[in-house]
Amino acid sequence: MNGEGEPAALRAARDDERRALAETLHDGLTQMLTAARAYLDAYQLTLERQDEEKAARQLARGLELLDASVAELRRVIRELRGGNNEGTASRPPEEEGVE
Amino acid sequence: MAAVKIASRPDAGLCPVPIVLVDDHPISRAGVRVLLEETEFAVVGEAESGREVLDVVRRTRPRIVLLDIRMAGGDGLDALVALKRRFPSIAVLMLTGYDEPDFLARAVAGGAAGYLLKGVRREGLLAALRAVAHGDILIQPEAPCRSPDPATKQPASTEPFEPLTPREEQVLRLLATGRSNREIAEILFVADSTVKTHVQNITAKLGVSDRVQAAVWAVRRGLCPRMG
Repeated sequence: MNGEGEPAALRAARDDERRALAETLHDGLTQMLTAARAYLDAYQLTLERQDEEKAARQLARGLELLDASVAELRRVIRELRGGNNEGTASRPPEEEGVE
Repeated sequence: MAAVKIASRPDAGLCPVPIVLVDDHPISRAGVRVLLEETEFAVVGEAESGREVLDVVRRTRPRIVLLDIRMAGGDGLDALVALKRRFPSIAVLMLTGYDEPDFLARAVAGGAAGYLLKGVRREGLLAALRAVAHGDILIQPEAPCRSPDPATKQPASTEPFEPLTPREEQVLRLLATGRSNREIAEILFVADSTVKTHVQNITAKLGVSDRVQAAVWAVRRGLCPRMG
């Protein structure tokens, strides 16, 4: 699918859409997933150090970010399928009190 | 204006390595903070955009800055150049979600000590920070361009190519520092069109697609002097 013979305006619109999708994935999913990875990484180490209370907090935060990532992914898919387009990226959960 | 957080300095007796985090996503900064807990590194300040970096660095005097690239409110690569100009002794490690050769080339040409992709494991991040704290330059092996060379200082092995003339090598060195054809022409006292011809010859000889790739090639083979 190389776009040969495609009107320039259509091609430009599709490029814009693709760039917007890349930005959405970068600003939403990438940040949430990499942060989730960091918390789970830290959780593993904290568990080895036998600080169970702190480990539990880190695990909870990691799982919370994974849940938020799934929700964001669903939102993007819905948007791509032309369904309910809410037009705003879902916000990651607040990080109060989590070390 | 985004908030700028400045932490109090850690206990001087422990001599932690002070670090500033720069990222427009609070959850990313939180992720890095949690990875640095109970290590020899201490986050002494944070900024949410390239524009805020200089101010935070001036106030906190870190040894290392972990710098995102694409940020709302101030590009990280521009901030890198400004940082290295004002604070040449501070090591800057790019930490980005973008696996882009162009960004890598600009980062190395701008004086970055390394280029890490977000999602790097704790051990990988700590190893990079330790290397940078000791003055090393590194490029994450799986980072952009997918080069087999893990470090910029090591010459790449062996692919044969037609040797560059001394003049072409001179142009390549300048090109790898991010200079335009016009700037190179002014430095070498030649016409813009002459530089353009040299660049075409260089890319053809190296078998790369454009000047950015040529710059990356030069950096990876240690042809590019680090900018102070």
